[in-house]
Amino acid sequence: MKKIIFIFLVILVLIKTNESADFEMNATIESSIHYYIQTSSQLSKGIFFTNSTGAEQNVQYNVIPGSFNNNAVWNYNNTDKKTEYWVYVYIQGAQINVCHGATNHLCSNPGCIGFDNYLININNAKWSKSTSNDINNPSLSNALPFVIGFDNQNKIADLTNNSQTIYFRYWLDIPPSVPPYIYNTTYQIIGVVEDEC
Amino acid sequence: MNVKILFLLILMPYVTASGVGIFPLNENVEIKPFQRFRTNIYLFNPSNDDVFVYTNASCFINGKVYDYINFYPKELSINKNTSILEAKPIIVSIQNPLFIENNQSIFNYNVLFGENKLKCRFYAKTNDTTPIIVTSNINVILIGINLAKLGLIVFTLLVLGYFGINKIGKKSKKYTKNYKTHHRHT
Repeated sequence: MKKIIFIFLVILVLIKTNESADFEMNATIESSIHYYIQTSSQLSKGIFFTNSTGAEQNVQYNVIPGSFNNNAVWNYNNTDKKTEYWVYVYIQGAQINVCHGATNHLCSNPGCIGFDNYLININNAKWSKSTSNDINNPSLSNALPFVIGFDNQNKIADLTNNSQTIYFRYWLDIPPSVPPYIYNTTYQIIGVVEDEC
Repeated sequence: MNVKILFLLILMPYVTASGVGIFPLNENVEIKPFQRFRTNIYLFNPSNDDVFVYTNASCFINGKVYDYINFYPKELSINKNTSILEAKPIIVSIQNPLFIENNQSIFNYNVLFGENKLKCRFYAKTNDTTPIIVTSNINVILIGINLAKLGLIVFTLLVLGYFGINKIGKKSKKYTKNYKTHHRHT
């Protein structure tokens, strides 16, 4: 009799320990939590650097080696002196980090590859942000250099749950020894939830 | 006199304005051995222009890439002025094969033990000159072999084995005794 009870108990233990074979899973989804990012028309078209005349006329002209603080074309709209570069972040029920950055240095060849590639280090490009938009804000005095990849030290929005518009201005220094080419990079904006970019 | 003037043109080509939204943003899920978790992540476009979006997803376990994630579609177009109610779904699937392929190991596979934290991130990127990337996190606990349960099963089997052998041994002794008794009488 004792043996039967023992075997019964062993079977019971085996059945109990075999629970992992049950195919169960669940997830909690809160669909009301969401965010979206919108860029201004001029920002989504790209950032084009120009000389001082071009900055006043909102037209792109060639820039020259050894020049400093060359404006992006739409840093100062010639009618109201406001910037036309902005990002709108709408957030509902979450905390979001918004970051930006360049994928590469400014390069003469796509992907910065090839023996004939020339580059301008991305830290020659600077950016400034502000939640207000006028002739003084965003300001050159607050400008920060770009880094490769997303800059987690200098975010567009730092763990915010407020929907907001952030305004930008961009400048570029050209080192004296840079040869004449068209230089490109990809500038991108990312939103992440409660985490590093 | 010969004068050379060097000009530079810093250029990024033209595209239209865009925007993209995403939900859900955070999912927490537990995946048991040999199971597959499937979920939908939704994208919408509140801007005034249609956007074309590339999707991507990546997972990391203990700082290493975890390949058992899939998603569909890889690219899609989202019409302008869509609200969250008109969002387009992306199907994301994550697997727990229990035996994870690993080229560094001798056996090419790592066995999962206990609970393992897997961090996955889904990306949707517009194809603009200045791309916007929106992301969503999927936090996964991959359930591996439970060592305590495994130990209990092994112990139980050992106990059963011991009793089984003992029983056979007793039967064998009984048979020998009967055989001897029987032959003595004959």
